[in-house]
Amino acid sequence: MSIRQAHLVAAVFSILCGCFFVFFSIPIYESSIGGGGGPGAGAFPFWIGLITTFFGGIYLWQSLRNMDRDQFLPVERRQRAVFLQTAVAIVAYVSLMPFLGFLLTSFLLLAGYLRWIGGYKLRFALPFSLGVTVLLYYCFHVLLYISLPRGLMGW
Amino acid sequence: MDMIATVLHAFQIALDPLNFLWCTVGVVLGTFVGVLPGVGPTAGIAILLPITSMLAPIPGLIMLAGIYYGSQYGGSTTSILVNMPGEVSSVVTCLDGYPLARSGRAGQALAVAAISSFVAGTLGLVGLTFFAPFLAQFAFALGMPEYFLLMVLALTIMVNLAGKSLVKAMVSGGLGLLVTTIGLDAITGSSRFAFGSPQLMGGMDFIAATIGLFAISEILVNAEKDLGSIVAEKVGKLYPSWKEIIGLVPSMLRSTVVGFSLGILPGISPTITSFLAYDLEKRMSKHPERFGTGVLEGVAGPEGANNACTSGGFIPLMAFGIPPSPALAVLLGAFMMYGLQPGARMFQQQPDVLWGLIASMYIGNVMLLILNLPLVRLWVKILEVPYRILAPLILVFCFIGAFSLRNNFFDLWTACIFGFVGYFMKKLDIPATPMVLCLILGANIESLFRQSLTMSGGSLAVFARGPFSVILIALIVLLLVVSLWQRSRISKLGGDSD
Repeated sequence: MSIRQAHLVAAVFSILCGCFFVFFSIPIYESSIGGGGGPGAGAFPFWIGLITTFFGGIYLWQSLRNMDRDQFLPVERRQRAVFLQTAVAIVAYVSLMPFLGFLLTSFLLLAGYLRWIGGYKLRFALPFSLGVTVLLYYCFHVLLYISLPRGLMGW
Repeated sequence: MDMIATVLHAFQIALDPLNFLWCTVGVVLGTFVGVLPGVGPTAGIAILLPITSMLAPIPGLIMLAGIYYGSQYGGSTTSILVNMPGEVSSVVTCLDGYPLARSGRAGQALAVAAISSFVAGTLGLVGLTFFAPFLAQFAFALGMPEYFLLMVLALTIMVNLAGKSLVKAMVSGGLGLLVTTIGLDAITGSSRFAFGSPQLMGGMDFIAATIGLFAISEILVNAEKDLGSIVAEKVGKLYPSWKEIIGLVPSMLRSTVVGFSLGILPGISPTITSFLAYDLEKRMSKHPERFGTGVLEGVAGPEGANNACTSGGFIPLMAFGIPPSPALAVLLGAFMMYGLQPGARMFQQQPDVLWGLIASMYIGNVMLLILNLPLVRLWVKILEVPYRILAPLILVFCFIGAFSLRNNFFDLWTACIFGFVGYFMKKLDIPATPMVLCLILGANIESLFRQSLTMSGGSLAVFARGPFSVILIALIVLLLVVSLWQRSRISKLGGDSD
């Protein structure tokens, strides 16, 4: 995807968002208008949605005139791979958290990141990740009483 | 006399052992945040916010404020030693700081940065001490429509300054405002855009969104770069001579005026003031050609300005409850977390919180001056930790911060999604600042807008009653027209703007 195409996607996204809010705020706008003399729950999102759609339209027009053909993602294979691996790691971390809990998921993220993205050997990555995870759990949960995500097994 | 008694009482609060301890923790963490590449004060405060949830409001806010102004000190360390600003506002410090380090004067550059930060930061606090209560008195005279217009004016200034493109800034702000409307309507209690989802009914958490926009997106952007180990210049002799320090006093005073006066305005970040102060120093110098080769004025000016700017930024926050920057928006979120609303009434109803916070900043600035120089070598050691190790650690911290305020897995997804949104925005040069400020101010703006209209029975004329409202409307229109005219001129001249 080129930078120009990414701009087009962003512009279309903002227009769609604006339209979405305008569309779904109309029923609440109308229903509450007669109620108390003032605007209803839909009034504010309606107007902001319109403004966003308007500026999204200008952004789209500007993006169509933009001739930047550079690539959005890094061209170099190694950099692109690191970016994609990081993105996958973030999504996997959030997806697994409700099932595996903070301790196990964080250990997996740290160890996996250090091994595959950082390029460290397992003999460093595993004990480091274990130590850091336990330390964080101890500091936040035990010392500071901050609740951390628990998984299906309760930890 | 009253003022003196108030200030003395404020220092009593700030010097309470517990408050003093959390102030120390805040400024040290802030310096650490400033030193770390990829974690700015906004993300730093957002990530560390859960820690303060177990504290009382005064120590909690003292610590978070310490992180904010401490980060301005820390940012200069990396600029000078490795030519890599730990914080965006320290970009200009690289220009002369790094050449000084390369010529074996890193220690002196660091000391000048710390002294200038201290002088300007403290003078800025004197301004804050006297201006904030004065402006708060003025805020009492404002009705809901004027308050609404004041917020719109703040957002207009910020949108104008947020980036090269007004259109992108408007889109960013608009999307931020729209996100705040998801969930239960605070006035009628009706569900909006939630489609029956209990998670969406609770609304999107502003802190989780900020962590995504500022911290997770930065990790994704940095993943594309090869950030290996950093080799820092040797620190060498730490202290400059008295003669050098005295010679820099005019620079420090000028930077204070620039930073403080502009810091009051919404959207003026410490980054902008540091650039302006550097430019001013260069113009005032008898040898402007030496700038960029390693002159101490090139460090003292921007470092002073960004610290004075942070002090100035507290004025609109404390007087009107309007944060002028994303980091202070998160701090406003912290006030709200404690059930406090900064503004005129807070000076009357909870004066201990605001005055204690102001006094702690004086103490924090002294602590930063004392701690910063001896700790420089420790910060250098931290810089040597490869980013490949720091990145997953920062990620874990981000998600702890996002989860622990509401104990909600949905907030993890909010942080994650906003992380990718922030990555797109950074790559496409869409400013994230308007979005963050709108995320925090959105609910307030909407409530003022609707309550004003309810008062007037739905008539928009309520926003144009009284001279102050008319002045505010004129300023908003003028700003937009001037901005569009300027941008169209730049565009015609072939520049990158709209």
